[in-house]
Amino acid sequence: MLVQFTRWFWGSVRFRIEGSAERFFNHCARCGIVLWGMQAGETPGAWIRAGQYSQLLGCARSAHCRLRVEEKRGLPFRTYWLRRRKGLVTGAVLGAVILTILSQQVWCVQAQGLESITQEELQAACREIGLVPGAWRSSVDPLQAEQQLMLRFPHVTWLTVNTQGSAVYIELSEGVEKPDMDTWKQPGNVKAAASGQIVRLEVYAGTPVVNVGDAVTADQLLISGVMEDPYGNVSLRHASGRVIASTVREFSAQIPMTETIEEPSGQIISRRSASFFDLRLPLTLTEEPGEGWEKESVRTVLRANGVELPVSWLEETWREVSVRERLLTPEEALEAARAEVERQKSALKGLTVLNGKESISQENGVLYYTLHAQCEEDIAVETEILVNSPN
Amino acid sequence: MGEQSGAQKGGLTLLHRAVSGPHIELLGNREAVVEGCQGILEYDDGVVRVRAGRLVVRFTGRGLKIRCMTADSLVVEGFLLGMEFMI
Repeated sequence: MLVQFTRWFWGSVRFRIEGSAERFFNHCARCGIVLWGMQAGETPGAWIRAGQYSQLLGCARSAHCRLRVEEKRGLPFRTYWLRRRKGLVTGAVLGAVILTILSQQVWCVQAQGLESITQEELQAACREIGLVPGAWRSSVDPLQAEQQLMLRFPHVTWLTVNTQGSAVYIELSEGVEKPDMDTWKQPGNVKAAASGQIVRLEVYAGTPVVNVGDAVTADQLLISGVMEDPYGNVSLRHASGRVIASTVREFSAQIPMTETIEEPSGQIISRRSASFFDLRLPLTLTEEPGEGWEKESVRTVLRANGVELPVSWLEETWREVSVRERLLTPEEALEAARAEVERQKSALKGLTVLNGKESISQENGVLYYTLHAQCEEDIAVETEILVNSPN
Repeated sequence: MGEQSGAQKGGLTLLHRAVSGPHIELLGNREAVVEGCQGILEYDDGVVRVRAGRLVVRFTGRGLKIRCMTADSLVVEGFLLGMEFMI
């Protein structure tokens, strides 16, 4: 097998001998030329390594023979056509070398299971421990990387680093933070967050000290955490409940009648660049514009079989914007004011506006908008009873 | 008798070979290894004649082939039917 491979690799030539084959073979033997497949008879011939064929000519001359090449086999003859295409051969060799080198490096680091941790935070942590595209695969120790990443993100419950080919996959699961239960263990009261008239009372724990229909003020005790049994024993509980009250609230917004807007002037600059690992190759000669331009960039990462390759294409579109002031119409200003008030209302949870009265005024280029609203809301606020006395 | 040197030993071996003729090994009737031959005199499917010193060795058979050959040895393979020494 090895002999056959060697003959194929170096190439072999089958030739025919015209003349005395015996004398020719004797001359070859004396010259130390190795032949195989020596045939005699009517068509004498033999096989020889392609590189040694020229040495046969001297032997043939001495033996008064003539040689005719009959067959050529092996790699040198298969690749003969490449001799005129040196660029192709060089490219293939270079490609193989580059592929070999690149296959020893990390091409991408992909993460799965991210929730509160952002991709950028994980990438920064990976960069600090040397787990970046372009790092040598042999220098990546998955177990050590796991431990280092776990130390950097303590709230991660489990994390694994796997290498598959030139890709590094990080899979992690973030833990759920334990809720703070201390408040629930402490005895406390329920007080009123705002003044109003109680409409509905839902007591979950504690003793109610107000009734439906009562008017209460802010910070007034609504549900007491101090419980007294029929025998006069007193115990402290954590009072809780919902106290729906009718309240009056005032929402206001001030909207300037002029606004600053940015309008595109229509001038657009496109910049393109290609990235190979950390190397960025600009493909356009346009410089980055300064102030007064808005940038929009799209990065396209080359993928193969779902794996990110270390080649990406960045296309930046810069649009020139001009800043100018615009005068709002009263309708537009009023709409903006109402939207602002809506935002204020939505910030208060459980608030229902039953009816409201708007007041609008305009002074010194500013629209003043006020909404006097009658609402229904939960005014219950749990507060702690301080029982830890110094003695 | 004193010990002989390597050169002396080599000279004696060559002399011994020249005097005693070729060294021929037969592997059944399928292969013959001839050491100490000086060349082929005749080569055919049925006959291989080899010069070996003062002798001429003639192999007869069917489908005879010279598998390999160096300056002083060769291997004949095939279906050997006879071997003759011609002085």
